[in-house]
Amino acid sequence: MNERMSDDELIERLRRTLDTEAARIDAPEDAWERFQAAAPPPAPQHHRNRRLWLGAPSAVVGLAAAILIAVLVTHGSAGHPTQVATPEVRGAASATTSVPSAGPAAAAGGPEAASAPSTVTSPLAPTAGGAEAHLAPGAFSPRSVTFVSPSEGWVLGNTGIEHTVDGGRTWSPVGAAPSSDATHLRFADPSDGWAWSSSTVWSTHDGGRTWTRQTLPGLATEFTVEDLQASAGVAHVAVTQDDGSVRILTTPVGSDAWRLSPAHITLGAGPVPSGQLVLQGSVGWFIQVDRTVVAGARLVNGQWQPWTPPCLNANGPAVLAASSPTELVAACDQGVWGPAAPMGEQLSVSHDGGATWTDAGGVPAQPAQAVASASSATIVAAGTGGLEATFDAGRSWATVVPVNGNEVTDLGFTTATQGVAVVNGHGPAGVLLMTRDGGHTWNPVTFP
Amino acid sequence: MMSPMGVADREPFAQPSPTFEDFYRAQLQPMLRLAYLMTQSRAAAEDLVQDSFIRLQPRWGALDNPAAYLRRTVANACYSWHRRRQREAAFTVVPPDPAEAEHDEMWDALAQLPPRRRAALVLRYYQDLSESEIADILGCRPGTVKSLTHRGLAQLRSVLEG
Repeated sequence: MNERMSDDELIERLRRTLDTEAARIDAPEDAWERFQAAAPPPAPQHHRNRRLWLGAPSAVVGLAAAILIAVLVTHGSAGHPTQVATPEVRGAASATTSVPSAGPAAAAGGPEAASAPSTVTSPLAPTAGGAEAHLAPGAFSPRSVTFVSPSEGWVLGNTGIEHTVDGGRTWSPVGAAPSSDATHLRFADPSDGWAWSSSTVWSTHDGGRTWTRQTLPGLATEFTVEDLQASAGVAHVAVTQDDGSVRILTTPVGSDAWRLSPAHITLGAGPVPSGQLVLQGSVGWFIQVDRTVVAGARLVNGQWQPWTPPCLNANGPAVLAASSPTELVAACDQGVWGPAAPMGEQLSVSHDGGATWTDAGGVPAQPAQAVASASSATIVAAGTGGLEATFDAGRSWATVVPVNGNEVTDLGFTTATQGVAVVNGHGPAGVLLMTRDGGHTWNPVTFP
Repeated sequence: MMSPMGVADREPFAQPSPTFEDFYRAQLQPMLRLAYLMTQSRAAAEDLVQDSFIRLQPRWGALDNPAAYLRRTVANACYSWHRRRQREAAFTVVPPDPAEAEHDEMWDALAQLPPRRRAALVLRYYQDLSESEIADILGCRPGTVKSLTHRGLAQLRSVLEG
């Protein structure tokens, strides 16, 4: 057994090896000539339709999507849910999807979108500008937030879990997180909640004081937890497996009786699949992204069933949110993996529970990491430039929280007026933001 | 109006816009090195990078950031190469590349990582990209990058420390 290295030593050793190995490689002197011999003569560009420039990678992804969508979800029972009357968190409180920048040509269709006012003062001064945020020793840094009512919520942070019963005005420590690896937190009611890392799920049934590592039956040895949400007395967790499939497991919130849903969704052609669960009451949606949107499933009568998600024709990922069982929004990246130049984020809306979708203009959040909706008119999208909001269903947008280069890990509305977001900088510090006026203003929450 | 390499087109006395050949010559070596670290095969790296340039060339002039686009294309090509190789592994014997001898045990440990973990480590610790930038390249969430990096380092440690 070798002596244990510190993390810094391991990383330093890795860097040395990578630098040494890379230095072995020099470009051949005749590379350009060889390229010219191998490359087909360039076609005239200026008069070609950009949509015709489908390259091989996007064609492969598109083909895979077309094939995969046809089938990938099968029917079956999903446990025996018990109803728990808890207010719904509106939007995709855990969904973050970061995608390649779509460039300045974005927001086509949204006249004012690209020029949203930037005069709003950021409440995130320490991390604005993409600067490293440094934590004071012992400071609490939020990673994930969850509310089960306008008054009661929990925040998972670097030093443990904090709890509020007055809508986030005051907080008190509940105890330690189940693991330092835990990155996300959701509660279904005042007692029952879940924390998860990329590889492990823990549950609590006493408000976060004690935690139990969960056994998820029927999965391959290696899997990645993509998302977990709870609603209407049932928790759902989506995982991707290294064998090339996505599975959803469900449990009644008061027990740890996970059952594998028969829904079986195959991964796309990209290297890093991701999935997002969105629940509203007893209905829900799952959208599978693998560079582009490749598959979907819908929760109907307690069962995950095949569903055609929005943005299948877009050449980039998408994020989804719902403000009611019928009102959905999706921010779809149009051109990241597709032809020619990126074409920005587009908003799609559904008023019939995801059966049909219509375009609603451009989204200035570039790229859209997450989206949340308090109503069909009020939509907030998170991009690396901050939080962008529309209050007229996408006709106009404004920057409500300017931040630069940061990651929004949680974004959602608890009520039509109250919402939360967790913003992480490049450093270890996270910031919990709350709005109490329907997304117009967001203020940082301080912890004791 | 910005040219593909960020030069202001309308600026008086602006430098001539870089040509595709300029771009190719500037980007070739960094991309070869990136692809080599991801595939651990010099021959594969040359093929994949050349193919990536060929795919990019028809779009040259329409891309806002061709360097970023190229890097994504190369990373994607490397990953596809791994997948093809995994499928073909049962039927072919790949001889060792004679040009790639004398590596340290870290390099051998890297070879044992799943492709996406290795890609995340290379992009993070060789290219010094942020989690958001890596997420851009891999087409995933920054949180997933964090997970891939964490797991990759843990696996390296496990291999190296036995």
